[in-house]
Amino acid sequence: MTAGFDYKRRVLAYADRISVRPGDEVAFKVSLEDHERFDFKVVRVVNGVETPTGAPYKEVEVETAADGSYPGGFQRIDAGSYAVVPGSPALDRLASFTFQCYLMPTLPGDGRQAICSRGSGPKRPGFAVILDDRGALALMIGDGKDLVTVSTNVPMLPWKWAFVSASYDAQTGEVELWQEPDERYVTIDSFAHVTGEAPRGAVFAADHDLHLAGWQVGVHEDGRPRMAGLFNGRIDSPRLASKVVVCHEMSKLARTIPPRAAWVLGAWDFSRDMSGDSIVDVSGNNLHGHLVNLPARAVTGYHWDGSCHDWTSKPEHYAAIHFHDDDLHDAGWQTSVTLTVPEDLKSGVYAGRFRAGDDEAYVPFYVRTAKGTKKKAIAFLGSTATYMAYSNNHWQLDEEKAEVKRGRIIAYTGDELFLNERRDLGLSTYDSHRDGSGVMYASRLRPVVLNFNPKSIIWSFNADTHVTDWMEAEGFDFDVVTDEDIHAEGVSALEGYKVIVTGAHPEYWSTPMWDALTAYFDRGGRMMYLGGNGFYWRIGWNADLTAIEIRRAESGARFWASLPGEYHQSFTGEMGGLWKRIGRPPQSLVGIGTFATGFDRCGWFERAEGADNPRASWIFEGVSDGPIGNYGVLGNGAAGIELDGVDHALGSPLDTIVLARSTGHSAYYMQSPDEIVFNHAAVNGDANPRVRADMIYYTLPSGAGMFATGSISWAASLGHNGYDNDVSRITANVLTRFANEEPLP
Amino acid sequence: MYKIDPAKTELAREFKDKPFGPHSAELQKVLNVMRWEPVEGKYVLVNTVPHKEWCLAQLPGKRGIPVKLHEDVKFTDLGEAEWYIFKMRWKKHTGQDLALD
Repeated sequence: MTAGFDYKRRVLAYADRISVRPGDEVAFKVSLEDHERFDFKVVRVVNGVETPTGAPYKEVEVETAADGSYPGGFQRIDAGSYAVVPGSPALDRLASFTFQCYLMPTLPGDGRQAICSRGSGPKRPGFAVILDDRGALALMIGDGKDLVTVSTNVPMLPWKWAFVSASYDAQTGEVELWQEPDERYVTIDSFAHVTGEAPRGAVFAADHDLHLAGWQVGVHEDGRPRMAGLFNGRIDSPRLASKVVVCHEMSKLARTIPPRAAWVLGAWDFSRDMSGDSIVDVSGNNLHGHLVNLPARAVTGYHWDGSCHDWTSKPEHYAAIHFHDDDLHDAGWQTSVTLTVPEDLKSGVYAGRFRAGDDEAYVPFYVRTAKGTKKKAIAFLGSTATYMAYSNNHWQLDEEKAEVKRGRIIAYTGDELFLNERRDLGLSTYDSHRDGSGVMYASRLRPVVLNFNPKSIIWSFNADTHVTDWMEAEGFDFDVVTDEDIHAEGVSALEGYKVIVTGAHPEYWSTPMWDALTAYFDRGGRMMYLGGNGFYWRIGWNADLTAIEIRRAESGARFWASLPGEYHQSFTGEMGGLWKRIGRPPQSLVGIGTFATGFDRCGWFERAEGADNPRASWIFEGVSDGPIGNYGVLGNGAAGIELDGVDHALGSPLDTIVLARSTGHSAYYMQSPDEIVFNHAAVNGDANPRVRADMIYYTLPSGAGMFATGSISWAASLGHNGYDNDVSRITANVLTRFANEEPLP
Repeated sequence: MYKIDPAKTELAREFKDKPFGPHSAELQKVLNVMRWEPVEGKYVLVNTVPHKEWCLAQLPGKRGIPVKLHEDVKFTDLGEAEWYIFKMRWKKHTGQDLALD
């Protein structure tokens, strides 16, 4: 830490659930540094944004039986992915052995990295097939006294496949290593075949797990394994044999279905159980294992030849797992406080608040109505998948062009400085791993200090509190429901509501979420989409793993790109990427879809021809002529950051009424990449008519109604001038009408 | 590639007057050059007092290494901070101090 400015977060926390009903339990996990106790309180988050000019920050304390002071301490996070094969008698009998696999290291030479290991560290008997400090294949044999390492001393090449094999003859002590790259060069050759000597008759420690992509060097006090040497890269078709395997046997052993020989101990097929976190042994010994920290699956393997781009059709081409030493899934902390949601707690946005001295943390959660109780006419939609996708975002710290994209000097918050140093808190789906590969998974079973908490920047969760704060200030009663609920329960989660109000950025949607929303509209449901860049990316949501998956396929506003052949999600098998590219543009769901992005300053709206349409003119009652929304706490304007527009070819209803269009966008606003099929010089906001937001209204034959603003910064203008402004008036006019039983004009 | 011409001080003056734009096409080119720098050592700001105070800082260029704060250089106005860093970058790219007035 740098002296002076104190940005250290000494209280970190997360919860097992984020959407609950009265009577449900929420388990909060808390970690403390420099404190021994913390105070717990539930607060209703009214406005999570702290700005000097906008609506004031507001939280309301709620009494619950869980209120009070709790003991606490530091809870560790073990980032980095690997596979565990539990100890078994078959492994205990191991003496001579061969390990082989196809290997694509992505950070060879970046520290010692284990590929396959069994043992408890240098002083204990065990073995480890590793890449040594130089990135060369090596085998470590320890008999409890001596630890011998035999290395090829030839560095492997980054991002290149190779066949590797390491064997140990317990009788003679001979070690043999094969390192056979697929690609050979005139001046660079990473081929190696080496033999060496290790202690004879090493007796490996019994009853010990086998690890792939990591090395267990001990046990923490809490019983969890202490891992080291985590591997970065892909492993395909790992095989373990109980003898020294010779050449022709190696090729047989490498087959998808290995030979039924007594010496085949383990043959793991990573193309099995692709959607889960187990690894399957097909040798017949059933040495099945599990994965820790969500390494990347459904990635191209050694056998991928470009003939297939969907792993479900040729899974054998996808028998690789990509491990990263900065993957994180479940922090696995002990529960510190268990809250039973009070029976009389009204539906809304809440947070657990954890305070110790001057330090604090918040963990948001949503409380829905109790089952069987009458719903209100209005439901606010918590876009939790989007909050997860942005959680702990590092892109401004690691991305070379961050300032070029933003169009101004980056001003970091203390939370970003803290995140930069606590890399074990895990990455966001906007980040790349250390080896340059994109982050495809995001879990909420970890502490989040950016983008899913109040008192944070105006983005994601926090930006959406502008909407709920405004509804409360203007006297609109509402329930809350989350996208996670919609995924799990379908349209029934939305039934009974006259109108669903979104936040500023409902960007990430699973297929079940999308289908449920379609069904809601088919039943006459109404929506106010008060944001931009909504319904943009398809995700896979894995309820068992409490994680989302995103493939940055083909096109779109991306911070990294999925590799060829890797557009299909491991969780679902579905093609990931943009809903537009999948054939369901956002315009076909909500009338508008992403046109442009820009991050320096925001523009405003000007009335369009539809403002005078008799079916829609009521929306402007009480609204002054002239610019709409040339103010706000996000970029000083209601039209900005990410902008959506009408395109009938992409599915906007033909009778969509365009109420207003945005203007005033700078050269740092540009058409979204998916809007451009060939680059040209006029993609900027000062030259391109499609760099704009369309504010729209339409109804459907079902009685459904849609009002959409197409701008992320709209919500951040609602609180201007004590909520007395045209952005507020327009939104209130629509919400009043949409919440009413009367048919829409 | 566009090179910043130290003689074109009128572009610097334009930036000083309107650090947040809109900017002329040529000033935009100057800014594109200045803003696309390697992460290591890049000048940035840290918001040390929310909405009130920003401190000059430099990115480490390596994950996990603390951002270097220059606590002797603080700003209460983001436009002033933009101008301060603009002048440093002008010197870096042209080899000349930026002398206006």
